[in-house]
Amino acid sequence: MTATSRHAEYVLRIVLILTGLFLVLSGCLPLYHALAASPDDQIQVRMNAAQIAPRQLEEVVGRAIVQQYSRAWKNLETALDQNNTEVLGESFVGYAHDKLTAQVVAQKKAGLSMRYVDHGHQVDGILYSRDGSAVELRDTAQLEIQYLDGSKVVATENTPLHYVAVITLVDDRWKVRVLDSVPSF
Amino acid sequence: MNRLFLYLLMIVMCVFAAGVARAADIKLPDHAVAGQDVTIGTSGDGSATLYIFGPGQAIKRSISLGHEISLKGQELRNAGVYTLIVTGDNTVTRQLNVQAAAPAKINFLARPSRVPVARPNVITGTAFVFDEFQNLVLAPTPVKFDLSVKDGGTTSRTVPSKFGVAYIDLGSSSKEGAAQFVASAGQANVRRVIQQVAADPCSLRMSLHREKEWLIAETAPVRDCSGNPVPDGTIVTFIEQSSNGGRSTVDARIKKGIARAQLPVQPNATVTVAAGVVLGNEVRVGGGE
Repeated sequence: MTATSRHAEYVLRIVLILTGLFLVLSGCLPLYHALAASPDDQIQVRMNAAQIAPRQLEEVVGRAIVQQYSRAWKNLETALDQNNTEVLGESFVGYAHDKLTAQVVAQKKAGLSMRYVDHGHQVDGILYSRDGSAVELRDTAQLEIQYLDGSKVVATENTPLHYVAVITLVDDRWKVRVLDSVPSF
Repeated sequence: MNRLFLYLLMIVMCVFAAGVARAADIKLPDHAVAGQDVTIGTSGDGSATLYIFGPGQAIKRSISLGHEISLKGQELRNAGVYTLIVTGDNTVTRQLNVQAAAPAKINFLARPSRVPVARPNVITGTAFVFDEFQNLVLAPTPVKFDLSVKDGGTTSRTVPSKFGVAYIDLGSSSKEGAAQFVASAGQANVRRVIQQVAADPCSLRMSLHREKEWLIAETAPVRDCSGNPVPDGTIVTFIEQSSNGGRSTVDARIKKGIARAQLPVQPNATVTVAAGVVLGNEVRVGGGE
């Protein structure tokens, strides 16, 4: 084997090793981010479906709803904190999307915002439609809310808040279609 | 000395009381309805800033304490809990609950779109009741469900909504056709169409006759147990089994209510007819020697 071919083989070996390392890293990094995600990034949602009717809620459906409802609240709180409507499309549709968008637009116009510290949601399932496309929830949320004018906190609220939510299947994903606050249940 | 102390104490109390009297406060109405104007009373002196955070809304307004504040119906068209904050010498926070207006719109899910006749609890309807501002009407509201088909009568039920939704299960009628399924609440109503189709064939009967060298098997008009003609295109199977082991099977589609098949003439044969899981009559043909 000549020196030239030995050199070429050496270079090829280095290239292959580097390519392999790159492929491994590209797979490991997203995995690391997922595993290292702080619990603070996720909002705790506990669901009780014992009273749901007229259809029983399947376990796998319940888990999906909990996960996607938690994500919806994360997006809501981000939207109202940063006055950013782009995050709403992932989790909201219809009337809920329209109202939240209007609130963000109004906040932006007035220079206002809301900051949440979310201590979790206790959710009761009320309705699961027979065709499996709609679920209604009663949500008691433990929220600390700061109301801001620019960067100045004008008031703080720390109280349980109550919501009625209707979520529907859209493109194989549960999205919030109605989210109405109520003084109590 | 004691008298001096008492006078000083009285002066301090008067100054404190005056301060309290000048402090801002908000007086809210007992209840508010989406889309209706609301007047809020304020107490105190001087100027302040009013903030309103609520569903679909965020307002910042300079106000004069001691005067009433008017909020237009359009500003409070979304039902829910609004947080009102007045900042002046002190900060006051109050909550205003705005309830949904009268029912004006129904989102109606009617499933499925096609059902066989005379089946119990096979049609389901779910109605969400909204007002004109897209607020869910959470107060219990009677929702009327009507299911009717031409010449088949009408089934009506009224169900009170709970948390803005009412649902019902109904059976299909015995008459085939386009059933009108209507949900109504207040001035709002929504119509859906459920196609009721004939169920499985019932009492399948056939007759045989000879045409030249063929045996013609023909059914009577094929109907379901409620008397509805089974749709054209439904498969009917004719089987001819002869004594020497020969077997002929013909799948024929119903045309104009009747299924017809052409079978070979075989000695001492038995012809049977079936459609789906329904068996018809059996006819013996030919004769042995």
